[in-house]
Amino acid sequence: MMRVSIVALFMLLLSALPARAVEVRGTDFAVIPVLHEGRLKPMDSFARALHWRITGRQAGGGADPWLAEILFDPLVAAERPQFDVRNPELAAMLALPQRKPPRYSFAEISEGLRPHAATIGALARQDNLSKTQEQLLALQQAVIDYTQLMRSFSMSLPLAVVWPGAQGNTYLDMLPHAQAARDKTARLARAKGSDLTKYTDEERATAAFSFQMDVIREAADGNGLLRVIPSSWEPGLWLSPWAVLQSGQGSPESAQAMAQWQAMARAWLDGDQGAFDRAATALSAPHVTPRMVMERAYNVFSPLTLALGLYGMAAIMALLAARRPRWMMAAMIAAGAGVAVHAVGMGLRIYILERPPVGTLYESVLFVALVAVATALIAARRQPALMAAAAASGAGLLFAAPLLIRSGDALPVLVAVLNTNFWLATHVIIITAGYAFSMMCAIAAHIWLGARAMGHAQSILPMHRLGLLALLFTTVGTILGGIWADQSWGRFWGWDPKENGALLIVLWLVWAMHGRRAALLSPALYAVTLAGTSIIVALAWFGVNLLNVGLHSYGFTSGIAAALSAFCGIEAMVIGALYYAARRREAAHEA
Amino acid sequence: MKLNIALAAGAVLLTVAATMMMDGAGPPKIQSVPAPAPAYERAGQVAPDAPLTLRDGSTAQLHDYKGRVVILNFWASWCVPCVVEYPQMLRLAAAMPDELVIVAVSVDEDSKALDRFLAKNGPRPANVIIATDPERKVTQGLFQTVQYPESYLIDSAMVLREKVVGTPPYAWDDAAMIARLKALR
Repeated sequence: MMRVSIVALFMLLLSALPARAVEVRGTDFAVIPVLHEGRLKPMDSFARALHWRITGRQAGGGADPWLAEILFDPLVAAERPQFDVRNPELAAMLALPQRKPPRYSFAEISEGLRPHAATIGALARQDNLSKTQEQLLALQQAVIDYTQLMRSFSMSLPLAVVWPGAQGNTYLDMLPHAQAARDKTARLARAKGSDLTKYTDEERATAAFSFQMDVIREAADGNGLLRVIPSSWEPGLWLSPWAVLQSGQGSPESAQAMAQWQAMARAWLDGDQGAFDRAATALSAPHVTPRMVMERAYNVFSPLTLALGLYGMAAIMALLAARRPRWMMAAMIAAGAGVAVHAVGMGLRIYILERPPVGTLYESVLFVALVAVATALIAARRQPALMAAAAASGAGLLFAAPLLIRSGDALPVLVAVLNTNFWLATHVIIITAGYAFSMMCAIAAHIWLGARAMGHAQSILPMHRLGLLALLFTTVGTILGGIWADQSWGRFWGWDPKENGALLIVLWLVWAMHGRRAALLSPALYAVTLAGTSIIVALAWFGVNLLNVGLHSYGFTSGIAAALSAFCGIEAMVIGALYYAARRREAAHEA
Repeated sequence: MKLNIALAAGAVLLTVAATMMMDGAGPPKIQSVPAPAPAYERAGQVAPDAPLTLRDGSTAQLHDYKGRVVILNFWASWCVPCVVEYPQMLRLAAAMPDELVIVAVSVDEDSKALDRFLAKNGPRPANVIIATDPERKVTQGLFQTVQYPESYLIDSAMVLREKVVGTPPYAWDDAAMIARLKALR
């Protein structure tokens, strides 16, 4: 199949073409609707998600030009280095030349993958793969996606095939003559066999034309990634151009849409900006919605990236405030601005996705960051250390969150079991807010221990109050989760790892507070237990997802075990060290 | 303290009440793609007024047949299912002489092969119109048909109502098909 694809690809026009002069950015190309992963989204979002998934990198400034080149000039796209192969073992397996950076073109990667087709097929059916094997499969999938994009409009692009009497030299232009050529070739094969040396020039041309048309058609089998043509016959169904042709879903509407895509492709190849703009507008206008326009704005302005920057600034300013109190106001302003921008971003996500903002692990991280910094604005007005730590945590969470997105789509559709706005707005929000308050409580406890270790007297009230808030939210959230589970899965409690994790946080906080209340825990030990909440939350929030068991399958993840273990280990050592230092200071003071 | 307990208890009761109320609400939203109205309900889904080149060389427009139900059928004499369904269509046309027009657009490049096929199948009713489109300007360019046979069922107001890809599940001259076509008047 790969061989057919490559042959089909190189049948495309090879003649020298004028340098591309079309500017895709700023045109309506970005808001052309495309159905992808269960959601109708603007082309800009689709391009960014595919760029991320295929290249492993985010497209700064958008990926529209990248996508347009693949769609309309696949020969150039095939030669452009896109695929990073940083694993030397994998690079050696694929016989790739060494270079810095280790970035390779589709042509090079395809050539390298070809001898390993059988191996890849076998690996796809196995579990417990090595890192190199996983990367090999991921690279294969990236190549498949890239191939699908390159072939999306192979019926409308000029071919290096000419047939006398055809209106043009695209597949569709020459299709009317394909049947006659096929019949003639079949008669020739019966009469003269398959040895082309026995054919006349004209007969060879007929046979070659028939073969080339068949190759283009076969290479398009299963091409369904770029779903940009709405079906006239099945409401809600969007199809790729080849799927429209091959499934019989064509209609006068789809014919007009295909004509516009062909015009856009021709405009791209000719460098005609005006024609490109007109075709893009014609394709987007009938179906674009205000949501898609807002999603495009969300992608362009990237409020979460802005918030990350503001949180970082707030953290630095709050640290400076330890020496110069005037910086505290600046830190509060920066953090406040970050929270406002972050909230706008979350609000946009709610509007675009038409659901509450937390439905995936990635979104829970975004929400925790927002709540943590917002809490610090209230609780840390006179505590630079707490503000600095909260802002730094918020920035860190926003920075790390994209690592949780494998598919590249930062605005995903939910799995069916989560598709209920009421429970998403209650249980999930409350339990995630509980994680945030728990994190803030742990931060406050760390700061208390640090202050004590340096000999400063500190009230336990801030961490105590944050702990109470965390306990309230995690308890109510856990109970609501049980009610939801009863409705969805038929039982209130099933000892699911996620349920156990939530209960663990509740029990940990209850134990700590009862210990303090009963005077069994000294202030320092109380701070240690509250500081240890960070480990409990990390295990409950991320750790249980590594088990890949239970009904909370939407959170399953892998590849973070090492980072999680390192975090827990380092935290335990830090808390232990702080406690030890605090106790030594206390002992020295008593002495 | 008592106030805090009262507040907490109130919050729990409120949550329970809200839960019970939401339970009685409708099913959750499961359609994430806005569904446009079906083709026959959407404004503007009138069939294009396609130019037709008839077998005898004259020209016509598709909308010339407005007022009657139209089956716009794209076919070729080298297409086996088309050959099978052609006699059924002739019988169907004979059963509905005043209500139905069948516009059968052939994409045959070989006009002699087409003539042989038509002669072999005998005379056809007056409401069967044979048009040719060897360059597929209407077939492919206007209706995006690339596989054969494909048929559009068009109502008397020239609105595209259904599309039959390949052959229908029952014969064209079946009573069920006749009833279906009569409903499009």
